Amino acid sequence: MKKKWKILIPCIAVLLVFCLAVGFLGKLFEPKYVAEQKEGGMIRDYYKETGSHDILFVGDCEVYENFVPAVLYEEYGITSYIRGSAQQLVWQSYYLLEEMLKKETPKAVVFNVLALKYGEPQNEAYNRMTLDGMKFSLSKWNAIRASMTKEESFASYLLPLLRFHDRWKELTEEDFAYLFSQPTVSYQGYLLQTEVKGGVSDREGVPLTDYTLPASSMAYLEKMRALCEEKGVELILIKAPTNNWKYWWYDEWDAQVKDYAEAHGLSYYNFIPLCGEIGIDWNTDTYDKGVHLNVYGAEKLTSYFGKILTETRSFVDHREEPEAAALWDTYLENYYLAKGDSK
Amino acid sequence: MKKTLQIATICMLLILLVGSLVSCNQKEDPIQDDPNEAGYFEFGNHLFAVDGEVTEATLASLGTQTKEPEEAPNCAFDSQNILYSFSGFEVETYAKNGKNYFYAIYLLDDSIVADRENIVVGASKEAVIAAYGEATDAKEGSLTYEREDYSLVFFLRDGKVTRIHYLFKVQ
Repeated sequence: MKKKWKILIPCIAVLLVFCLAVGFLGKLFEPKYVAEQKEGGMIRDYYKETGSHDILFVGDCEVYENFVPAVLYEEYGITSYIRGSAQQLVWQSYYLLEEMLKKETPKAVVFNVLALKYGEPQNEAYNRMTLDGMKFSLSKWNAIRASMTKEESFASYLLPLLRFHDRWKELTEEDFAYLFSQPTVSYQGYLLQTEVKGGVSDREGVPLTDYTLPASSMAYLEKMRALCEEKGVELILIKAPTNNWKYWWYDEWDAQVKDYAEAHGLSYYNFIPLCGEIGIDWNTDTYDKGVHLNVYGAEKLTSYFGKILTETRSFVDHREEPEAAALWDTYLENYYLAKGDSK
Repeated sequence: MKKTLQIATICMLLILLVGSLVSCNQKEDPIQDDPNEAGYFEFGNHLFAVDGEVTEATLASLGTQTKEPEEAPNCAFDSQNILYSFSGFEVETYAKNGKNYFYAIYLLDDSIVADRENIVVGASKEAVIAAYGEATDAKEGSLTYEREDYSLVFFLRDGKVTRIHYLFKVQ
């Protein structure tokens, strides 16, 4: 018996050291998304969030660039969080939502519908930005399986070293400084952009051969709706304002979403035709020629959306609750400090 | 005898080396004979490598641009798609590792002949089928022909071609 242990203990020790080394090197080599490509760090930001929220946003860049939770609180007392990521696909939104709804039950979930145009996995770099930030869970497992392109391997999501081993030559100070803990990169999921780059053109999107939204993405929208229904949460569909030929929202897509919303009794707000009413000036309110709003445009849109929300639904005004107010006043201060305002 | 064999071996190696260099060069330069060869496409009397970089020279070879290029920045990455306008057609590029590559070409009118099949905007649906055969995907408003590296799409209205799109399979 003793002899057996004499062999087993060193084996277990070697295996343990090997696993620790693989885990440590994986952590070291994976991108940290702090100074650059902050978009990749937003999914993990949620785990640092305290308190619950009235509204949870899910979706692609059109949520995290266009809505400001701090403003929604400041003007209407609504607490919210944006769980957005670059080119977040519908199945990723679904699994992120599934994960969040295990932790909290908001009054409403807001989903931006642009991603419905993608029926298949698209791009590893964007997948990584969404999936690598998720804590390990069944939701993450399923999100990876639904998202992988043909060139990707499931194992590389579980063991980052398999994917990022060749980053050893690109390691920077950031990789060491944020090895075990990364600072938040967003403001309750909002990614601040203060740059102004207008000059949108009058060009429209190029014609497509088929305007039918893919069945696979619509199936995940249906799963999202059913999940919200099961949890007693309202699902609100939105289309954020854009004004760029490349990221065109076709009338045919709009009609399909409208039909779906009507069939299921959901609210759907397409903000594109409402830009004038919202007050968006495409010369000053975008930082990338109409693809996304900058902070000035996002504040206008948030203000407009908040008005709709409070006029059509009832929310508790958290500004009147000392505990929530103390927390959100800090968030507000951080937001305005980063924006460069003296509020 | 030994010396002869040595010389013959060196000659063979040189031939192989030159041969491989020539074939490498052929891969980079437009070929003239077979427009349907994988990796190339024919457009407006030119043959282009599908994965060839779109440089200023490439754009100049297509003619004079009729307006300023239009940018569409990509989410999260410091890159963008750019749309270049020419008389009768547009070229869209995408960026990868700091270089631009073909993303799509859109033919808008009959001022340019896309390839040696001589189908232009305004041609009939029957003429397209006669020239290219049965489409990979035929819809009421379009005929799509799948090639290894790109799709060739003919948009139709009232039985006539209204636009022609080259849509490249981006890696």
